[in-house]
Amino acid sequence: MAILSDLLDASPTKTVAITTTPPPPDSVILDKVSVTASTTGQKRRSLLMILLFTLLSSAAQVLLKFGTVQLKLHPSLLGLLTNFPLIGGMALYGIGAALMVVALRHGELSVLYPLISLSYVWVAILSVAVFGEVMNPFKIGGICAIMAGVGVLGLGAHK
Amino acid sequence: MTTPLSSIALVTFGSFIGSVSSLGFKAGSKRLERNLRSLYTNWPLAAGVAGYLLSSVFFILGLKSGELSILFPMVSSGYIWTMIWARVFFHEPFTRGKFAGLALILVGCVLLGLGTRQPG
Repeated sequence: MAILSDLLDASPTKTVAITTTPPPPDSVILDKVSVTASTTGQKRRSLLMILLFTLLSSAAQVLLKFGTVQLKLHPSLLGLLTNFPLIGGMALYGIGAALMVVALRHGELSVLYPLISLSYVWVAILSVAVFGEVMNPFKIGGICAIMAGVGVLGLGAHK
Repeated sequence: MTTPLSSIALVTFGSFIGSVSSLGFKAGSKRLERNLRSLYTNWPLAAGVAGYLLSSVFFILGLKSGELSILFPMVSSGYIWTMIWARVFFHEPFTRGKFAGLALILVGCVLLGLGTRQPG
């Protein structure tokens, strides 16, 4: 949704650039246009990075859950140090965090950060598929409400 | 498998810490340049990473007993704090859209809470 409105934002600036090309004094306006065009590009790249982050962090959740199961079986320091799902999950978390930092450079914290809720969909699918957790109407309703909330947040940011 | 209240409490506390550490990420991201020095002298970023790791410890403790499909969405309760921090520290405005979005997220969390009591 946010990507769509980004594209809508970008199109009027392009038409301005075409109409203001002939007179030389308008080069100032052209400069301004090119600046805004690059920032919408950067914003879009930030959104894509956040999307990739959601995929990485969802995989991390599944690994962490695996890790806690293994931790129950081997509750010792050695068990913790050889708990590869837990370590792998934390590593993915770290990589995801690095991606998020770069993404947050362009865009409002209050918009990009909640976009991370996209991972709830991936996690819901994975927890049914991997751990055999059962869905019920309350859970599905809850996840849908959170998704709707994310959508509303994304739309509100462009006003 | 049902999710105990203690797990939900651990995860929501972890997400509060996570919302604080997102402040460090935002402040740190502004200082970031294309050299290594800007990375290792970046104390807000370091604080953000530390907070993020700390929040994941609480998350892991919560995950030990409980369903992933309930506990992970509960992390979204942290966005309420994030909106407040963003307003206080980065002067990002409160808008009607943001309030509506957060209200929906809250409703979602309550529904998930109800979902733990009902066996699939």
